[in-house]
Amino acid sequence: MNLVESSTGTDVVAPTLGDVIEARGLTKRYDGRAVVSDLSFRVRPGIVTGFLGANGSGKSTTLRMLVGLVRPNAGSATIGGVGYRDLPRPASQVGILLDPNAVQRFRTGIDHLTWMCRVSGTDPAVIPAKLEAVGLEGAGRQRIGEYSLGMCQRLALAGTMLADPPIVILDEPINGLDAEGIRWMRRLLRSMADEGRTVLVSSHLMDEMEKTADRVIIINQGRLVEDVTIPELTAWTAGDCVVVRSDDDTTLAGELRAVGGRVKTVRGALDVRDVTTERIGQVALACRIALVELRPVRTTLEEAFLSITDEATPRK
Amino acid sequence: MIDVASRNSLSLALAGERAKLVSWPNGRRTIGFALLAAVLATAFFLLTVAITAGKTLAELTTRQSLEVMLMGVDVANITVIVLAVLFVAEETRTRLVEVSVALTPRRHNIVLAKALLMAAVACAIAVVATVLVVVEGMVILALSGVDVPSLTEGWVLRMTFGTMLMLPVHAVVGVCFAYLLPNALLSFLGVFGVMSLPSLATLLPLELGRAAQFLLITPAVHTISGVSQPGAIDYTSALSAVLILAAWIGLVIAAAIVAFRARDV
Repeated sequence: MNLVESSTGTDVVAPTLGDVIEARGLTKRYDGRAVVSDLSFRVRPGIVTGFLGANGSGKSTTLRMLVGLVRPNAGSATIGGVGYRDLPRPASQVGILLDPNAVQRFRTGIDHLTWMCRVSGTDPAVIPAKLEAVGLEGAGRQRIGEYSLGMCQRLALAGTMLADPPIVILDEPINGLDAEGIRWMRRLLRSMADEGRTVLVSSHLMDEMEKTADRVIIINQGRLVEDVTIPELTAWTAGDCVVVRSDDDTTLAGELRAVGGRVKTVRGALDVRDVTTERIGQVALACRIALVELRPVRTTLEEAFLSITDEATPRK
Repeated sequence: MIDVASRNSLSLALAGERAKLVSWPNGRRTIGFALLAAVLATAFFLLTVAITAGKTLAELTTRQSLEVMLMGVDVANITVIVLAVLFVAEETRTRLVEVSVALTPRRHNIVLAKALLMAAVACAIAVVATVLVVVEGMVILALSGVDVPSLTEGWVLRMTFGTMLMLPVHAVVGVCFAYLLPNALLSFLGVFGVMSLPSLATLLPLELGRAAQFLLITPAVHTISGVSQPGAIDYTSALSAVLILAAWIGLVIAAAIVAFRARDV
């Protein structure tokens, strides 16, 4: 057994390859309408996996199927090869944050975590450390009804991490957090992945996922669109775009087209695709054209997401 | 047969439900109210017996005196049903049930834990309420110069035990109806409907009515407590009554588990 220091200050068992989340052909229909269709993917330990999709794309339903809250019409989900309900100690193996508002507001934060400790077989003595880890050390004895959404989110996260599980599944965990809270969440997710945990995080906020996730599973209308790393995704959709400005754009454009480039003029600069930055420099040098700007443009995750989901959406 | 993992899961679920109950202010208030209501109801029924029964306390038989005393426990019984229903329904309404199911994915353990806990709480309320109303009743009867029932007599102990038994049985039924029906009001009305079935059964033809009574909770409790005597329409037999109560508890728990498992939360 390999004990490591966790992000929340206690020893955890280092995760193994058994900590893989796997969905196979998951399908869920409500009133005959498919919310999730034949969805398959694997989530591996040691990285932050983003689960991306627009609102209503089936992210939450999928996560709920993974942990047995929603019964799939077809397909199955396993965690380490075992169905969630068949895990011997599910609460200590998988930390789940689905809805920070799924609380009873008359309880204090400590009372809420206490019953969760009892159910998961965790010593309630860990509660002060967990509250401190999520920045709620001064609010534990406050009623949850007095909490802001961000505080509820932090409390739910504390509940998720009570037993230091090797797998965490978080649905939109940054909702309600302020800028500092978002940065804190980003660091926390990163540290959990660095500890070797399996981290699956759903979000519709592309900018945030770009900063947080190593890999993304993208769904659209309940169907898998892509399951790739972020660099792969942005490279695919970027089309090697380079912005070029020179003292003779017209000539340079012609020369670049001659070497196979796709060139168009956008806001007074050349938008060049299918030619590398290095090759553009060589062409300009050969033509004795002075370059004023030569800037590769990185496609953002949001642009990549919109690009591929637009392609994946059936036209009406 | 329950395997070791499942039993462990049940004990953890039970510990969690207990922690929820301890930190449920309305639950504590409802328990306090049940005891207060029992005491007030007994005083009310004993002091108004001339109006409600057309007799003075002195004219009541000892058995009738005890029955009036124990009416306070009937009131506690209603409160216990409210407590049991709300314990489940409030969790559903606030969606805390999602967290509960995520932590205890074998849902039958949640139903069993809630039913066991509410039965235990109902037993405790039944014992305390019964002690309170019996002592109170004795004092009122003694102050009124009326003979008090002897607590060592067999029929007194039997009636007291039978009355107390009603509370855990209805608590379990309340928990299960809260899983079967969509909200607290309907669940409470459902349990109240089950309690009212003996009255409705009297509308049936005699033999059919007698057969129906044989299958219901209240006649079984009345038979065990001795309130129903041989020859009465709702009298069964002690053994039948125990079996009927066991069957009701088993059936409602099974139905609640099936309904809860089938539900997406």
